[in-house]
Amino acid sequence: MKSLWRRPAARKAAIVLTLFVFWELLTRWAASPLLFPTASSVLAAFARSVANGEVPGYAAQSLQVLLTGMVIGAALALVLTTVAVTTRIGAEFLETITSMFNPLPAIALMPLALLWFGLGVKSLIFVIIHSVLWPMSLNTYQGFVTVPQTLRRVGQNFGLTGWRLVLGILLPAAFPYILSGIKIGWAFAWRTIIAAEMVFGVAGSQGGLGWFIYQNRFEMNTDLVFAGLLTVILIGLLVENLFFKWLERKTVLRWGMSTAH
Amino acid sequence: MSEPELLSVRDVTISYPTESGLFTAVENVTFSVGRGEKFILLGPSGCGKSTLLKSIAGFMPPARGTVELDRHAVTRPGPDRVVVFQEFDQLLPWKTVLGNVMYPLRVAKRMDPAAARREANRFIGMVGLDRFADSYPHQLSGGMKQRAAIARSLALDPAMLLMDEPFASLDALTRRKMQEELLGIWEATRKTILFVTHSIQEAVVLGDRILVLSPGPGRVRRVLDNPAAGQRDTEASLTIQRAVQEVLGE
Repeated sequence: MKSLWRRPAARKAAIVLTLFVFWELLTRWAASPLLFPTASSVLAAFARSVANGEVPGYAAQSLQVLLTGMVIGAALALVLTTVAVTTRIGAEFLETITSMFNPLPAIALMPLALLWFGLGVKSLIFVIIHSVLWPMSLNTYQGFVTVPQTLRRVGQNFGLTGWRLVLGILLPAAFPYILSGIKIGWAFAWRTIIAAEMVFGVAGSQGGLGWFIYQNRFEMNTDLVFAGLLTVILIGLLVENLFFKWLERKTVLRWGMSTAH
Repeated sequence: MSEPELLSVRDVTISYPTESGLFTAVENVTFSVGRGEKFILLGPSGCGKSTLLKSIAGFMPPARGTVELDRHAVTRPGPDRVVVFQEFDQLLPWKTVLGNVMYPLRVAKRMDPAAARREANRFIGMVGLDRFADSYPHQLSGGMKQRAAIARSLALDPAMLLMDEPFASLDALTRRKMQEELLGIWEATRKTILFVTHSIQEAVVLGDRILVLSPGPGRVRRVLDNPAAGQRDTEASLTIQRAVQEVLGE
């Protein structure tokens, strides 16, 4: 028991459990189930909507749109940063445009997206691209710039130039920065997609998780609203603590290349 | 000189722009290196010896003069002149030792994976890193990293090896050991080596001939024949050390 307590994961699990117990007691004693359902009824609603496929379907829809946006954003970031490391005007362009657009929240672009692409997936992808493009470009660019000159010269010594040098040397050498750009991009994109779906989800035949939460609030299924929020938290935790940790173990940690962030 | 000439450097001046104007690192340098020779560029720090090596490697075109390898002008970096750098980060950190030695064989010599692996393993064995073929660079000591870099360069079978103070960041004991190993490798391969150093002792142990550069800007002070190459602390090597010392002090 004592040795279990020494493990941070065990202590964190205990914290979560305590919070759940508090929630359960507090809501049983003092809250209306319409405003704040009990922990047990939320867990039951969560289990129900996972079992009937509703929540997994909505989550898959959100993730699919998010991934599409992230892949397009990453490709654009790669083009932007390649131009930025090869030409001076490209570097100035990247610096100017990222400092302009980085502070602009993706949600603020939704009215424009509606105007340009209408209600639907295209608008969602547009705001996701906006939310990931600038942080991923900034990090990738920083990664390229910090590649040691010795490594570049080693590549040139092997006769590599242009795209072969970028793919063979610069990209892997900058990978720690690129990975941290992807992590920041994911964090922005996941928050953005849930918010954006509350506006756009209405149109498609099937909405995402954001739409699931919004719709259930409309129908006063407060336990399902909470189940939706729980799903958003769970997926966020899984991606950040399992997927990215795994990716880091397979790459930058194995190579001894992890950066400060 | 008995050996046919391999590298010819003629009237080379190298200058590059700095914040305080054009800086001339090397001026009117002329020398040639014979096939199979171990040739040392020796001088105090700031005499432009590393710049000269970078120019021969093709990283830095000379402002004036010509560099020719086998009577062909050097215009850009290429796998016929492989550089072993002083910096430990010359190994690709995302590849194992085996991966590091195989990679240039794949991209520069277009070998198929099986042939590249065979060739890589041969040279990894030559530098004594067999047991570390699957280790990543960050798991190796400084000396092992430089051994891996030497194996990678030798595997490419270049016309000449350009070594830019490869042992300068190692501790004294490891450095001595690496010098002995380099001599052994040279005995086995007879590779032409251009070796840059600021250590008189290292120059005398390794070099068949020693070019002494004077500082600011680097000019040829003298080229000395070294009959004591491969010897350490013998009468002959101490004599030549004193001679080099004198030339440096002129």
